[in-house]
Amino acid sequence: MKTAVSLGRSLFWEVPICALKRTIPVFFSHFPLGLVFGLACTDVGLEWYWAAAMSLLVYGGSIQFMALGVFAYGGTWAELVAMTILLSFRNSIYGLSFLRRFPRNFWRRFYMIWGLVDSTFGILVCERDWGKDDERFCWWVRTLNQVYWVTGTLAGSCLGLFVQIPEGLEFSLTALFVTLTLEQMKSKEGKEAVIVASLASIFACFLWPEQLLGIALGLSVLIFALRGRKS
Amino acid sequence: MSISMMIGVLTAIALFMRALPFTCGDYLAEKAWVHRMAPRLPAAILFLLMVHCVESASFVDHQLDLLRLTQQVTAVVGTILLHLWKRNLSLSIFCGTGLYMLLLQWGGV
Repeated sequence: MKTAVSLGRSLFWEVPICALKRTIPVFFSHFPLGLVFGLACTDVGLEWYWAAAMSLLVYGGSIQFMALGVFAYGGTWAELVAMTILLSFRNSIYGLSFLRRFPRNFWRRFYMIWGLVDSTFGILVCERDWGKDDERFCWWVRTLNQVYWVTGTLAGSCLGLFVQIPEGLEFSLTALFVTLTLEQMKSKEGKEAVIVASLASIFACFLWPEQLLGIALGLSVLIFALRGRKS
Repeated sequence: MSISMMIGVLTAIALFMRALPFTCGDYLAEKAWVHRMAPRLPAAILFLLMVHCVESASFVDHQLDLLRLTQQVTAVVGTILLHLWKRNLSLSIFCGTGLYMLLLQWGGV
């Protein structure tokens, strides 16, 4: 994490506009998914403000859908807690890439950590050259991503069936991860990492397919930590 | 289980998990294994997130849908090829998504 040289890009509007551009694919996946979540909340009989509160406070797609299921069929607290920990395991790995980069100020740091979800992690980790405007760029990406998610939830729970989204748009998030992976693969370490991760996911596929992501990630982290000790 | 309690618990756990590496940040930042991991981690995570996206989209009603899986993989391969050719993030994402939507139409879904 080297401190990037300031490239003199300090124009006031350039940061939010670039953040907006980078997060467009996230909009096309977070907004429809938020919509589905809002609709699902209405189905379970939750008021719109509970749906919005969940997207605002919990802010984690997989956790929210899981919790809604547990809530609907009346699961136990133990179940809920265990599943939440399992689903947010990957988020505790994300922080490792931002230990030095996130703001020093307690509340700003807190705000960034809270918003460290898949898409925010992906965009920020691939864009490091903002120099002294980096903090603002990170703030905008993090904020916009949640705005998409919360507005989607609100639209789903308030407007319900009035919104029609063409099918397949959610692929934009997959495509975002595809391109970002390819960008990371420009370096030798990146190529190596993708090979390790694909082997780990094949292994996880046989071990416990329902938790593929968690197991493959844990395995990859373990391999990276142990390997290369000699080199 | 009241909904407000549930939201409180979920928020607390999600926040705690996200903050975990930061709570021992200074300690971790000095560890050699963290530095070994740093350049490799993003690529591995992004790749796994991609796999996760394809995987979860391929399950329709908790059942693996082979047609959907094929459509997903085709669109992913298309996106990869276009990106290796043009190296333009927005273009690759836009065309990849368009390809996927087309494939859904042709697949009669």
